[in-house]
Amino acid sequence: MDRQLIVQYLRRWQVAQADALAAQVESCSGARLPDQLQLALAAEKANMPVSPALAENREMVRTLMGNSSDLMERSLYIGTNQLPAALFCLDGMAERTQVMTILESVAVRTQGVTLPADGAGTLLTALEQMIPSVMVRGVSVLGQVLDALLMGDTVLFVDGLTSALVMPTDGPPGRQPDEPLTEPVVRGPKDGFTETLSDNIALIRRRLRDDRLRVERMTLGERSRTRVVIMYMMGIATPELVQEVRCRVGRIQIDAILGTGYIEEMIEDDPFTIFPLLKVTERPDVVSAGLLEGKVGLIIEGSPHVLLMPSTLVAEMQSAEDYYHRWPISSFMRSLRYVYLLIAFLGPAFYVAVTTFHHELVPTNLLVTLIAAREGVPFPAVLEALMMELTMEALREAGVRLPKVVGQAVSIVGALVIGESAVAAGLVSPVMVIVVALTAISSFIIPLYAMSLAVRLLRFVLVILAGTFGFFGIVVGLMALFVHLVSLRSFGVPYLSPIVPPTAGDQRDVFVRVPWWAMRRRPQFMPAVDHRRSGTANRPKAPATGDGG
Amino acid sequence: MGGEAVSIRISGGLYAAVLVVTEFIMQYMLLPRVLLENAGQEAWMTMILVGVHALAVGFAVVWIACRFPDRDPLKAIRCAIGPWATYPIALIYGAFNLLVYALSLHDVQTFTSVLIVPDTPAWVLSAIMALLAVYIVHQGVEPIARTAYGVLMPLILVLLILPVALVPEMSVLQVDPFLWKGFAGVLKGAWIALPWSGQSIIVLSLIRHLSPKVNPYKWTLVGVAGSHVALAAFVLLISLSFGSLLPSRLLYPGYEMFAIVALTESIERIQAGIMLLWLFGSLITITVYLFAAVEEGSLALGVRRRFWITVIVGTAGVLIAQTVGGGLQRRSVARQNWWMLLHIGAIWGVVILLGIGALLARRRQGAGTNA
Amino acid sequence: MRRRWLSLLLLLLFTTVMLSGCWSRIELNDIGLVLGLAVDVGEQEEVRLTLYVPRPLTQHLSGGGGGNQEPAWVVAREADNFADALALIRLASARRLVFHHLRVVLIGEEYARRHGIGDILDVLATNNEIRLTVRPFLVEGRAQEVLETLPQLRTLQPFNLTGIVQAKGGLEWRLKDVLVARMSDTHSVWMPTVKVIPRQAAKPLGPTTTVTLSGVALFRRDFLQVVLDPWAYQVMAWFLGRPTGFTITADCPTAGKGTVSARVLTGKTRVRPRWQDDKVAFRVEAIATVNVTRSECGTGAVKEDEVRQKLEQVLADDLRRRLELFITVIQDAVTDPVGFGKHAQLAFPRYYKMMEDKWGEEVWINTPVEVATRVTITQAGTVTGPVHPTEREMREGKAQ
Repeated sequence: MDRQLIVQYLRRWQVAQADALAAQVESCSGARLPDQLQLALAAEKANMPVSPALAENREMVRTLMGNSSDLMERSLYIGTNQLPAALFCLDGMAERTQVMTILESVAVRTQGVTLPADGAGTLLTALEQMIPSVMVRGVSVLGQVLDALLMGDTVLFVDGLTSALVMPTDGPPGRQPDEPLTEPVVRGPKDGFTETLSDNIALIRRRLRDDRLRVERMTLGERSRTRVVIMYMMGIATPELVQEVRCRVGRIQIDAILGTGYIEEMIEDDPFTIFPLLKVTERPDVVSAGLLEGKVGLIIEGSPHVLLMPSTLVAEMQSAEDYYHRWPISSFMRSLRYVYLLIAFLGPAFYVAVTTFHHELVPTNLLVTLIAAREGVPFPAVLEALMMELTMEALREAGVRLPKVVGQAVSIVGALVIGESAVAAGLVSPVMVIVVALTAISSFIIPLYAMSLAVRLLRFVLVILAGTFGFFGIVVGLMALFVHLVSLRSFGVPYLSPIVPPTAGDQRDVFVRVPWWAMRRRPQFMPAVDHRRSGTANRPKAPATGDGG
Repeated sequence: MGGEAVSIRISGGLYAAVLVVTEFIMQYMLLPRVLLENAGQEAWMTMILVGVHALAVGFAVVWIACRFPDRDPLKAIRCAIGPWATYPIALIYGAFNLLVYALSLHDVQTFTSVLIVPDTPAWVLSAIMALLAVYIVHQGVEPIARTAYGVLMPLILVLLILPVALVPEMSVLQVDPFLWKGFAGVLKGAWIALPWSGQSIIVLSLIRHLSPKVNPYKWTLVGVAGSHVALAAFVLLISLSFGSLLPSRLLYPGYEMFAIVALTESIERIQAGIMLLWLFGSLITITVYLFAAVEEGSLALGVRRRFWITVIVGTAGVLIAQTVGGGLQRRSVARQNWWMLLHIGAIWGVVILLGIGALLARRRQGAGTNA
Repeated sequence: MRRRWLSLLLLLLFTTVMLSGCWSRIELNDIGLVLGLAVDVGEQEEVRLTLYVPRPLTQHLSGGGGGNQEPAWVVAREADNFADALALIRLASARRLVFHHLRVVLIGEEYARRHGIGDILDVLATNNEIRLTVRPFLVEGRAQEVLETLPQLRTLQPFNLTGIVQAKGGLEWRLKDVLVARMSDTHSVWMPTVKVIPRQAAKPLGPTTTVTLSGVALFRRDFLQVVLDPWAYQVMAWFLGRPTGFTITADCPTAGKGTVSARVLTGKTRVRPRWQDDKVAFRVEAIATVNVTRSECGTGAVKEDEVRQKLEQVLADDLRRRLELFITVIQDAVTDPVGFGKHAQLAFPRYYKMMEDKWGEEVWINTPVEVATRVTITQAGTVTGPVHPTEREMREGKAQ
């Protein structure tokens, strides 16, 4: 660290605080500047201009970045005039091949070129001409230089110029689009979002090649400077909705956004509910379909999960696969899914209520068998149910954390062995094991993971209510749940649309799925500008028999 | 949510659903025995007559409300004459609904503790129901209406399937000649059932939330007439399944009727489903009455903060249900004259006072206000 | 702020409830299902009450082989009345007895004659656990023995009894029907009867008795009037249910040849009240289609019209005689189990209103009833005629 250069730069800046800072720099000793001083310098970085002296710029950038080991610096001489220049980039954030291409053209190819020396403007233009970068812009503030470096761009300082050239070269480590782990399908595209923002945008653009698809970028998080992109179809999504989204995202003040969960909790309508109010998905086709219905998508850099808003309960229960299979099968699967949803959170509660309070409701034959099955079990049915459910939760959580190779075996073995052993030891009755297993399977049928988490939580509450008051407790619990769901709104759209409030035309896509030629309009409960989706003559007809038949 | 209530609008279908659920659910458990006792097999005719009375009350209120553009006669009276004019109406109406709310609580807690959870102390059940009702009323009129709608669909399904399932139970031995107990019996039954039918006066609280585009007469007709026709059919089914003499001894013939339905040897206990539906419906009924009591009560007392008054009224209802509920219920069932007159008097008193108030309000506002 | 108060209230109530325990909970291990109930005259006391409670353990283990472990606990106590007897039984029961799944109620013959069934029916109707779909039976003999007998084709005796009735098909008579009959004066109470009969045991350790349906019991004002044989049960099915599956056996058209039996496929009976000589008379019309199951009449192929008509005639006559006999019996017993009174009430309400008090006792027993029957043979099994050469064929064979 060359303190002299820093002091020189600060003196040249000729601003009041610069003198104070310069004095402090002069007075300190040691290899490193004290933290206070570094913070003070960093606070001023938005006002520090790019100096025409190359050495000062280099020293300032090094100091402001705290001599980071991944800050790459390359000094070079441009042109026959041998103009001193310096190239900065962050290793890892900037892609080396791109940087080398720039370097080659700037350092190597300019060997025989004479650069104009009659003014900064012409020099700048000449340089811009010869740099093989998609975009070149000039920045004149050191703060912006740092931002650019942190984005992964390459910065070129030239001696004598009061602005630096910034070229985008970002290529942070990322992976190829892969099948999304939490939403696999049998038939349908198998690409999923990755952590790279540009890749994600591209995956959607590839499906919606419409110039009316709008992409707006914002930066959130003081320290993470995460890039966040809002996507919507202009002409379908209502301007009010988009403005609301912009407003809510824009007012977030946080130091870092590390995942979609952060944003989701800060922009949703009701923070005290267990139900997901925004749809979180890893599939580009789901997002594209959502955009076509008038929803707004939010892509966050560094996370493969994309947020879609507004969302409803029905949307959470829809799987992408429903639209790729034939419609009778899809309708059947969908209706079944709702039945299983009910089983998933009512199953153990019903079992507990019926066996503990309402024996008269079980057919006699079955009751005799149940009594025989429960002989010798020491725990009351409520405790049995809670124990088994908690064990199931433990197995599930363990299964998520286990390494893949071991996970499969342990989960199957775990389930079988624990179930069998528990029954053999007389701790639980075999019927309870069946009920819990059925409930677990039912909750996996729910396509959206967040929804199944909510259901799991509900199940416990209902079991406790059922164990205390039987059917009465279940009814009270369900009523409270229903009223809660009815009052929930997701960006103004009632959460239970289109079941409640019922809109006639939208029933086509709730419990059944009508064939594609019958889905002529976008869902009416969604605020949208243009509701017409497809033409009227799409229904396939057999060719008229005539000649050749 | 619960603040400026008039800004929330419900559609005609939801409004009718609330009416149907309120009137059907409470009455189908308790009324058939009384009606069958008096009118025998022609209890269905009694039900129709009672329905006419309910329609009369409902239409009277709707007509008065429609004289004003926002269908809020109490507000108009308050604005035109002064708040003191609304006090008697709102107080009688609020107290009446509080009483009905307490009675409903008592009914449900009795039924539940007799048939569903026998050892649980009844006050606990009441307390839980009151808590739930307070929560729902706090959310506003829309969740109430939507829940009513949600209960209505399975109810209609059950009512459609029921005659088919009951065919094996019907036999000629259970049929009586027409008007065996005479028309006098029908009228007597109708007189006894009048107080229950007057409960359609709750349209006063509902109509100001009805969306202005819909025709209130049509939907009131659908709601009130629909529920009474369904009840008439229901009572007829009971009579055909049990004869006309046995139900007068059964405490809850409706429940017994569901209990004897046996689709197959294994699916014979469908009364579970019915019990659930009935519990849902009862909770909605209780909530609606609490809502009516709170709405008008708070208007009368000029209270803005709805939450605390809801809690107070709710708790008051529970206390009334525990202390005098049994006594009131007995008198109600015994149909003592003073009880009948009190009930019917309160209902028509409210209607008449409302009418007078509306007339005066219109006069004060002068010509030019059209409905 | 409001939300917080509400959640606090909820939480408070919740914890109070949880801490103070749940009241109406009863675990499955703690309930004893009462599937059957028998009432007899006691030896020392007025009433002897027997309950049938299945044992859960033996259901679990396979109940083959030896009968040393009975499938159910059959317990009996005597007391002055039903409630006291039940209290005594409860003193010996390790589980809480619940009546929700009660299937059968058995009343001893002597009890029905001496005390009448009024008390029992009232107790059953009052109890909110007992459903109206319980099946009542009268037992010829002691009702307790029926519960103590081991069933043949089912594991538990009450299921066995209900199975016996249901396997016949066509006639469902339950507590509800008995109560309806009891409350009305247009028809009177009846019940099917069962009895315990000796049985040839296959192995030395097998049961030596079994239970069978043995007819019909007619009551008059809660007291037992008369017990009829199994043929009466079939006739009851003709009037009150569907006689599908019952058998009609008649003598052959040519005397001395033997009998012909036919199984009823569909049967329908209509009671038509008429006004005759200033009073009510009835005409009973019974129509049946049958399937001839066996014939000793040597008449040849049933599909020939002449043969068929003859057979139909004898079957119809037999049916008519049975119905007439039944009507005579019930009129002699001054009872009306099938509801002639109801038909009269529906047809002539004003007359019936006048006669209401006297109908059951005086008017009915003198009412003329005419029976007309018609039987149609639609099938004779899967053969066209008897599987042996008929006389005519033999004659023709000889002639050739």
